[in-house]
Amino acid sequence: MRRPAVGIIAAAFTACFVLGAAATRGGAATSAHAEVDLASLCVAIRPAYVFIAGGSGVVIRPDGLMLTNDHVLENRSRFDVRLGDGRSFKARLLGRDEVGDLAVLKIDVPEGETLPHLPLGDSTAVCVGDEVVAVGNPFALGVIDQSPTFTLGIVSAVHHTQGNYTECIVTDAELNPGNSGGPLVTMAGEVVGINGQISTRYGLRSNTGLGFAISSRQVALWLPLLEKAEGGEVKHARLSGIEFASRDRETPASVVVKDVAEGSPAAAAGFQAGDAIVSLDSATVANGHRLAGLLGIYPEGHEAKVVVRRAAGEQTLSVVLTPLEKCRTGIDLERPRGSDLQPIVESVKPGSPAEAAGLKPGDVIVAFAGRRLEFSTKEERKAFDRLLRTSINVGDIVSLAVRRPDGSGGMAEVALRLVAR
Amino acid sequence: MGTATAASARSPILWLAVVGVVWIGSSGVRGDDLHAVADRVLGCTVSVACGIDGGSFAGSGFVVSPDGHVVTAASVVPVGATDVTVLLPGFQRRPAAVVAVDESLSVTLLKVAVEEPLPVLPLTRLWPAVGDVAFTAGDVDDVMLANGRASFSRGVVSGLYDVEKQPEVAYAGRVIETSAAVNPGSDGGPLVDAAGRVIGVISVAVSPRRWQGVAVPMATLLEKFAPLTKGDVTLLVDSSEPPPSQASLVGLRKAAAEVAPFLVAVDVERTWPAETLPRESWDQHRRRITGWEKLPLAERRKRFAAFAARARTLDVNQLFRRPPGPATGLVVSADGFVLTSAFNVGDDTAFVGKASGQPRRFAFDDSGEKLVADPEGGLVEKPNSIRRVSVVLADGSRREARMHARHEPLGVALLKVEGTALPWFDLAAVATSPQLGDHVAAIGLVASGAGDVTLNPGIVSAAARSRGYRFQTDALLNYGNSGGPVVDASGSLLGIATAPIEPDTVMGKVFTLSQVMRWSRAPNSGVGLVARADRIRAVLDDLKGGRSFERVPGPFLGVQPDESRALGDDVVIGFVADGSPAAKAGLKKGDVVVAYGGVELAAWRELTERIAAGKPGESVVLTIRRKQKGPRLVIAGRDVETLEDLERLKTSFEPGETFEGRLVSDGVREVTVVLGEIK
Repeated sequence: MRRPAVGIIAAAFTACFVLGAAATRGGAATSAHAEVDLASLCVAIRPAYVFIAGGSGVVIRPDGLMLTNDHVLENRSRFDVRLGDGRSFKARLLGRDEVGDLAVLKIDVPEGETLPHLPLGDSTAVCVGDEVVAVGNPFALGVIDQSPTFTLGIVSAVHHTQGNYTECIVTDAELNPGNSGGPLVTMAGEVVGINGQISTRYGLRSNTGLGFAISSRQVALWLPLLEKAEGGEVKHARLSGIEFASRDRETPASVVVKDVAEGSPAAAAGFQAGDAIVSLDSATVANGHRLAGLLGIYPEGHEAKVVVRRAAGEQTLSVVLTPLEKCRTGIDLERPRGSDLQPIVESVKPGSPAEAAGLKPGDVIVAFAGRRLEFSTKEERKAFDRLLRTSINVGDIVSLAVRRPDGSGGMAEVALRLVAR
Repeated sequence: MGTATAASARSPILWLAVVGVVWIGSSGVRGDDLHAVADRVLGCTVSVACGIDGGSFAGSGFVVSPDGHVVTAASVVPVGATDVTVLLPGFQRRPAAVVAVDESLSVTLLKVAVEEPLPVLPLTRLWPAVGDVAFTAGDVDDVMLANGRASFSRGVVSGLYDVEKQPEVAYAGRVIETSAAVNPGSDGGPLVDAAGRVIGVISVAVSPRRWQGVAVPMATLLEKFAPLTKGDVTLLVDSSEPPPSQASLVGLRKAAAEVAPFLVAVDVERTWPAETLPRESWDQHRRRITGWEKLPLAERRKRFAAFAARARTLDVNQLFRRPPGPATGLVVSADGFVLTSAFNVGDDTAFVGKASGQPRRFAFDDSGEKLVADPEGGLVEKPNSIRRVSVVLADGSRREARMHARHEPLGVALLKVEGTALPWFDLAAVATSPQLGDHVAAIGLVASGAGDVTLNPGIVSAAARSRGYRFQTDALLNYGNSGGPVVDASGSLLGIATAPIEPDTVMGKVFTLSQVMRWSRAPNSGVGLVARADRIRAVLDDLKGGRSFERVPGPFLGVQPDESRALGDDVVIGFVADGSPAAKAGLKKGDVVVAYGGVELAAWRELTERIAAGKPGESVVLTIRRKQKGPRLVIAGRDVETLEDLERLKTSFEPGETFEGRLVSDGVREVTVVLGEIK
C-alpha cells in the first residue's frame, strides 16, 4: 500500500546496540549453518543481565561496571538493581550521555567479590546476517520471577541513523518496551550493542522487526569519559570550520569541502577547499548522511584521522573534534493536548534562530531535517521533543517543513541556522 | 502438511527458459551462507520513490536485468506516478521510466538508465514450502540514506494461502507469507530463498488475522506479468532445487507435518462481527459540529487533529478485535475433545446502535476520551456473545462444537466436537519440558478446510512464566495460530499457544486513546505465552470431566508487590486485596515483609514461594517493617495507634489487671496471618 516517503518514527524506550565503522568481514561473523548451542549461550549470558528501573542493563566488567540507556534512568542517579541470577545490589550513576542515550553505572560489589559479566565486542566487525541474541525485560514480564527474556535475530543493517542514534545497528531480534538498555549479544557471547529504540506501527508499542542498538564502538569511545564523569554529562563532538559544497546530504558533493573557516580546528588540521572526504577513522564516507552519522558517535576532544582526496592524491589529516555546544532554537512547542500529538509552535523567542527562519506561533512542524513526522504515541512525541532539544547544534542548518495555520493547507520550508549565543 | 504442499509444488516439471537469457546462479549464491546471501541480495535491492497526486511515496524494488530493469510493487509506483527515482546501493540515485504497471498482479516494472551492467537478483519459478528459510530486504526507515544498503531480515515462509482483493491492493490469489520483518518501506522489495533467489515481491497486504507480511509469488509473475513473459527483458532465472535448510528448521518442519493431521480450524461466530462495526467519517463528524463554518481556522485545525487521533484509536481497536476467520485447535481425544486458547472463545464486547439494534456509528465526546451516545439512535455496550462454535477439518467438512471447560491459569479451553471419531494427538506421550534457547515453532491453520499449516519459528525466551503454567517464546503469535501447538525441533509438543495479547479480558472493547497508548502487548510482538503441555496433561482428565479452573487453587494471602520497588532487597507490599487474609491481619500498602515464619526474605519471589508451600488455614507470623512517625505504643504486645485501639484493648482486660506497655521506635512488628484458600 502507499506509504509516505518517510513515515515511521522510532519510540525511544527499548534496548539496542550499534556499530561503528564499515562492516568488514570480521572473525566474529557467525556462519548461518554453524548452529550455535543457544541454550548454553543463554545460560551463560543470563547472570550478567541487569534488571534496572523499567528497563534493562548489562554488566561489562567484573567490578560491577554496567551499561544501560540514559532514558531508562529518568534522571535518577541511585538504583536498586537485580542481576539475571536473582541477586540484588545497589547501583549508582557514573556518567550519562543524554544525546547518545547511554549511561554508565557502577554496581556496589562487596569487597573481594566480582560479578559475572559479558565482554564488549567489536561492533565494527559485525556483518549483516550475523545472528544475535537480545536480552531484556519486555513488558516487565520478568521482574517478579527474575527471569529475563531472550530473543533471537540477525543484524539487519549497520550505519543506520534513527533520531539521536547514529551509526546504530538494526536488528530483527524482537525488542519491546522494557528491552531498553539491554545487550545485543553475538553468538560468541560478546556485547556489540545496547538496545534502545524500536520502530512502531499503528500506535502499538511493540516489535515490528526493526530494533535499533547503540554500537559497542560508540560505547567504547564514551566509556572512559563517562566512567570519570562523576554523575555528570559529557559533550558530543563536532567537526568545526568546514562548509560543504552541497547541503543535500545524499550527494557525494555533500562531503566536498567548499570553504574552511580561518583559525578553525579544520584549518589547523590542514583542510582545504576542494578536499573530498574519503574516510573518517577508517570508516568510508560516501555522503553527508554518513558523515553526519559518523560524527554523531564521538565525544568531544576525540582526535579523528580524516583521509581527504585532493589533486595531489590522498592525504590523511588529524583533527581534534570540538565540543558540540547546545544552543537554543528559540522554539517553544505547545504541550500535547489529549490525543493531539502534533508539534505546534507555541511561541518563538525574539532574536532566536527560529525567529530568523520565519517560524510563527501556530505553525505545525510536519517534517524535520527531511524526515516526515508522524506520532502515534506520546512516547514518540517525547522522542521528538528530545531530538529537538538535543540534536541541533551550533553551526547546523536544519530544514523544517511547517504547515501554516491560515487554513490554506499550504506548507512552508524554513531553515534554522544555529549560531553561538 | 507444509512439506506435503511443498512436494506437490515441486513436482519434477522441467521449467524451460521462456524469458530472455537464463543463467543458472552458480556464482556464489549456492550454499546457505547467510552473509553471502545478504551481500548478494543487498547489492541488488533499491529504494524507489515517486510522486502521485501531489504527494510523494516510497518503497523498495530490486534489479532484475543488467541493463537496469527494476521490479517493484504497483502500490509503490501506481498508474499515473511521476518523478520516479531509484536509489541504487552505494548512494546513486537515478531517474527511472515506468515500463509497465499491472495492478491486478500488484507489480510494476521500471527501467533505469545505466552506464555499466548492474548486478541482478536471480528469480525462481519454484514454489517455496512452508518452513523454508526466507529473507526480506527493503529500504525501511530510510536505512539506505546513510548505510547505502537496504535492511535485511531473516524468517521463514510461514504460510501459503489465497487472499482476496483489498482496498489498496488489487491482487487476488495465492500469496507467500513470511515471518521475516515487513514494514512500511518494504513494499516492492524482494522475498528471497536460502539461495538468494527471488520467490516473491513484498506487498504489504496484511491479513488481519495473521498480521504478517506477504509477497506476490514470483512463479505467478513469471507466468502472468507480460513484460517478463514476452522475452524482451534479460532475466536471470534459476529454478533448481534449493540448498538444504538448517537442521533445526528441518526438525521443526517435520514436527509440523507430524502434528498437522490433528489440527482443526476453530471458527467462532459472535453476535456482532468486528467488520459490521462501522465508524464515523470526517464528513459525518464535521456535520455534527455546530457552527463549523464560523469556527476560527485554528480551532478547526484542532478539531480535525482530535478527530484524526480518535479515528486512529478506532483503527487500532479494530486491529485488536478478534478478526473474522478461524483460529487453531488440537484434537486430543478420539471422542472429539479439542484444545484451543481460552482467548479464542473468550468474552467479547460490541458497541451497537440502540434504536434499531443495528450497528451504528461510534462517537466520542469533545475530550476525545469518552464514548458518548450517537445522536442518531445512540450507542450501547453489549456483551458480544458467541452464537456458534464450529471446527473445520482438513477435508473441509465442518462440525459443530461447544465449550466444555476452561483453565484460566493455563489460558486454554477444551471444546467438544460431535460426530465420528477424529484423528487425535495423544498428550499422554508428552514428556519434554521447554529449555531456554530451544528452537520451537508455533503451528497454525490458515483457512477453513484448506488444511494448510502455518509455521512461525522462534526460540524459548523464558522457560517459565505465569507461575510455571506457561513458557515464553519469540515465535510470532497472532489470531490465526493462537490455540495451535508449539513444537520443538525434535518433534515434541511443548504446549499450546495462548493469547497473542494480554490481558485478554479487554479484548474486543472499543478503547479510548489513553487506553490504547497504555496497552502495549500486541499480536506478533515477539513476546508470546504458551501453555505448557505437561501442565495441560496433568489437568486434562479434569477438563474432560467438565471441571473448569477459574483461578489457581492453593493457599492465599492477598498481597501484590510494589513493582516500582521490586528490584530492591525489600519485599514491599503494593496492594492488599479487600477482605483477604492480609487485610484481616492489618497488612498495609507500603509494608515491608522482612521475614516469613522467622525466615528472612530477600525477594518477592521468595514470599510467593513460601506462601505456595503453605496450607490454607495455617497461621504464619510475618515480620513487618512499617514507616512510622516517632515511636508507637505497644501494650501487651498489641499496637495502640488510635483511640479506638485503646478502647478495644480496655474491654479485653479485667479491672485491676496489670500489663506491660512500651514505646517502640524501630517500626518492626510481628503480624500473625491465617492463610486463606484461592477459590
